[in-house]
Amino acid sequence: MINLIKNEFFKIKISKILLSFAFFLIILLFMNKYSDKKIEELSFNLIPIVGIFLCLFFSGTISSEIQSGTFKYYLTKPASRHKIYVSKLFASFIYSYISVLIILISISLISLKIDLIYYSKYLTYSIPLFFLSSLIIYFSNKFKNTSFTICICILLFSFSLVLSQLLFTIHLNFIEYTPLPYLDFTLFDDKNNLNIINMNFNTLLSLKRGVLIDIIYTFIVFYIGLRSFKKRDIKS
Amino acid sequence: MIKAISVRNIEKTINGKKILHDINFDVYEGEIVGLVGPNGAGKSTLLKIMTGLYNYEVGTISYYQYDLKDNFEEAMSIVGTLIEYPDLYCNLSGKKNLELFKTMFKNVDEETIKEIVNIVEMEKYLGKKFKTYSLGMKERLGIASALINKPKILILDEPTNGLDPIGVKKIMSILKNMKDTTIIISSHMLSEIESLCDKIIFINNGTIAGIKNIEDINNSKKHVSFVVDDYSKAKILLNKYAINEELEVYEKDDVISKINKELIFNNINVYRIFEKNNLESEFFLMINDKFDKK
Repeated sequence: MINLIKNEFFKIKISKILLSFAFFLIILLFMNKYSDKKIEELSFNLIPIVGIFLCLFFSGTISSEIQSGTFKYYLTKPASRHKIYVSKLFASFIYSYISVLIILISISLISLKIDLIYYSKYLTYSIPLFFLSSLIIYFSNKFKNTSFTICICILLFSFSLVLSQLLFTIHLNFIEYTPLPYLDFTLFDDKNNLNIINMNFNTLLSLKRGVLIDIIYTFIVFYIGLRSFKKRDIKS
Repeated sequence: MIKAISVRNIEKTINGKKILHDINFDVYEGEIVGLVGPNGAGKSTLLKIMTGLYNYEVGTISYYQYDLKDNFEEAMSIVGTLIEYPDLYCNLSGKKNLELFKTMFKNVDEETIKEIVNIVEMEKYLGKKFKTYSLGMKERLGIASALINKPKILILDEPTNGLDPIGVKKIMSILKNMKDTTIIISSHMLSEIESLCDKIIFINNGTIAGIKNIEDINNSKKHVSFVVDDYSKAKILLNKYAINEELEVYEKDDVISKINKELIFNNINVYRIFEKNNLESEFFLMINDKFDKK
């Protein structure tokens, strides 16, 4: 399994991944130099950027292998489809959390302090990346089209809150039981804003509920995706 | 003899259309078997099922003692595959492609890779990116990736597709030198298949039309065509033997000799007698439903 995960990074190219890490560092240094706000506060804005890189790197993880025909070789080697799907998902989890760790380590180095409460908050706010990873791999398998997967994932991730509020206005309140309003946890930073949304739309959005829903849906999407991947005929 | 491949009652339906009907055959250790049939007969579908690319609803496939569905990893660890066009990772070099596939097997060392690269004569080009390779080089690297685990069984679908005659010759010579490896190969290049294989599986409309040993194909009958001066008279005379409108017959040596005598006896000058590829004849008989299944 470890080899399969390594292969995924090998295919994306390690240099691209390192460049994305360098990009996070540059952004942090830039924010630290030119912004009046504390770097810790600003650092939460990097989570969506990690999400966008996640979409860019992993949207083709299944679709581009089908499109280019490389799956004809990869899937005929002695690794079950189950392992291959899980390795792709784990690779995207690992990428997300290495990015988050790099951001946290960089912030500690920049601010020269260790703040465990801040770390735990940051890690909690990164939980939507788990769900996003499982969604990316699922769409990559479902749509067989890398560009479409990138577009749909970035759109969902970027406009999840706007879209949720839009759906709440037309009384589709069941949305609060889906991960859509919980793809960006920075919403829960501003308690007043959250209360207004909850009051206006008669919802019960909360961080705890968000964490729970994201984790549950990560497993659901993973399970559905894995089943469909195992049953799929690989056509070239 | 030990059974290397056992295919039992395989059926496959795609988009509601039955592509394969009750496919059954065995391949014994060390045999080289050709899969022959017209386009759309189901050859590629069968090979894709045999390599795990397609799922199958009915039937079983075993490689030695391993069932493909129940023990996929064990089964595929002794199988090498090359399915259609060799699509390896374009942005990686030949070497990195092989290294990537190496990690998927246990006990494949650097020496094995060197040995295989040597067999396919790709030593000089390993450092170059796969996308810069010619089709022949891609095909050879594809074969190297199929051989990386020193497989007991090799499954090849159209490995010479699109290659020039030199490329075809090279691939065929690599395959001929694969001692003790059980090979199942599908190709439209019937003369190459004939020279390589021990046994031929004829497949048409998703069913096995027949399985013949190459010796039987070559020994039983010969496909010959007569070039004569009086075509219309000869045509009437050969009516009961001819397999088509071109004065072509598919008969045993003694019958061919008899036909020749008959033509001469009837004052028809025979200028030339061409011997054709027997496998090709069997192929055309199969698609024209005149196939002798024995």
